[in-house]
Amino acid sequence: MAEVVILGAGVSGHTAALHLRRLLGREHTVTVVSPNSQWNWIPSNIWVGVGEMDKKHVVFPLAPVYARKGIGFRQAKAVAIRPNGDLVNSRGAVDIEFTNAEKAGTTERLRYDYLINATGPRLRFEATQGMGPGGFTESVCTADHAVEANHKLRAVIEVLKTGTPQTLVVGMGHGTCTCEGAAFEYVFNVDHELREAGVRDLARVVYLTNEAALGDFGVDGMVFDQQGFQTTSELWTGSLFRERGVEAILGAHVSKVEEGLIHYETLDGSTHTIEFDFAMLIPPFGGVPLKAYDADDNDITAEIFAPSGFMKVDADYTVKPYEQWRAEDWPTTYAAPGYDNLWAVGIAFAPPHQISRPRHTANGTLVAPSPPRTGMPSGVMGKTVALTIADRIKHGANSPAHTASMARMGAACVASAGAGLTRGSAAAMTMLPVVPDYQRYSTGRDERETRGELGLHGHWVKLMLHYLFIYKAKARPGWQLIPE
Amino acid sequence: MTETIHNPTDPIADLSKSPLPTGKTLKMRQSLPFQFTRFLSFNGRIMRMVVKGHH
Repeated sequence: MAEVVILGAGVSGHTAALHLRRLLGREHTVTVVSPNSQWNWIPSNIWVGVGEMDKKHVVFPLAPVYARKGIGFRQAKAVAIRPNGDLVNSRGAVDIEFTNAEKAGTTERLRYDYLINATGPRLRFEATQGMGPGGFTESVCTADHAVEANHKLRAVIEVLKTGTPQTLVVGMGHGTCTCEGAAFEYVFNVDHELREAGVRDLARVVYLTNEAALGDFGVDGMVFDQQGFQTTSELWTGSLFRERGVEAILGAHVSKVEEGLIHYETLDGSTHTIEFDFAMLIPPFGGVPLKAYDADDNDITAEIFAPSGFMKVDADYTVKPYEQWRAEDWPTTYAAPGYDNLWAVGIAFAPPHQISRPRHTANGTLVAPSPPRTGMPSGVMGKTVALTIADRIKHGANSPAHTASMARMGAACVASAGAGLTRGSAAAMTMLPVVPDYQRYSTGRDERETRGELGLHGHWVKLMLHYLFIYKAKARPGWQLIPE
Repeated sequence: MTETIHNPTDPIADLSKSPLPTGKTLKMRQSLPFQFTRFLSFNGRIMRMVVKGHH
């Protein structure tokens, strides 16, 4: 009998749990530890944030799904990993602290034979003074944040209806943020809502981003083959901004937010402020605060985790300049070095470096979009590690690991630009691979598979993915046939 | 296209060279029959990606 513990119930952890339960006999246990009682299809939070979808349509309770599938569930947060066990027992263990109302604050040491860290991001609003729901800006990172963002947006629309001009700023709240795609989606959904409300002409809409160029999306941009010509995501994205009249401020590091005022610095070292009536800024991500201890209770956190809080895996973490970055630097198995029963997937693994070229402002401030590792790649990583663990349990510890490098796998990114079955639109992009490989492809990616297109069909795709992935996450019949 | 009012002190990106879509392009982006074909095509691409790239 083997015990598998998964920390986190987001796309990556939940996918791993469902596949492990499918692949393993009932004599083995699969246990998920998540501080949240609900699963959230985060890509649709964008629509909650503009009032096009209710919160209840993007979340569902995890416990009934896990009960039905025979997966153990602890509503708790992990606080420490003990990969070599403790003085009492040499089996690996993880210390958890319950977060549900009945057992809040109580702790448990959970033993494991195999552990997957899929803890996702810690939303670091504190990185920028005054940012976030506790400060002066909104967020769409959680369903509750998105509900609040919509309330504020509606209030601004009401003011606009009185004929009073308003400034709406959407973007990234720090120079090292990731998930530029989410801010891109939100700014165009806000633009769409303002048009639908008939108040767009009174609104100034500004996209404030750490990307050095439009269309970077934290993946160094893309080159598309369009009707026999190479075109860039920068040109393509710029066209949409111009068409919709959305202003863009690029290469920005937001340093402070006050009531109605954002302070930021740009790559040339100049500092600026912009007044706002509504602002949605994505925070930078960090790893969740997990400690690690050896069997003698010595702190080995720095050995297991990178300073960012993300877990080190089988990547090449040698510090080297952008020009020397290679596809091979990226992890393939997601196993923690030195351990054959510990993995980190999704946002929880420490990337070897950014994908987009990092830059410094003239004052030395780092402006470096962090690599996105959500959605499709996240699910693939979860499934890959689940396959590795299932093989090792069923066929022996020497079974080779399954692999899924972000420098090999592709991803589809559908960035909504407005909701509506006949009036909506989205930028639908595919890229292969996610991490560009300039040794293999002259443009870094396979031009046949790296494409971008704008139109109503993109909205249909995003809506289809919404229903498909919620169906899959609920483990309804045939869920495993829906690809990650 | 929406008329934008720039604050002269803000370092707004110059997008005046970005190509604007033609009227025909805008119409095709919302055309139900044409968009249905693009929907099928995009789904085909996603499935190719799953087959080729998920390893």
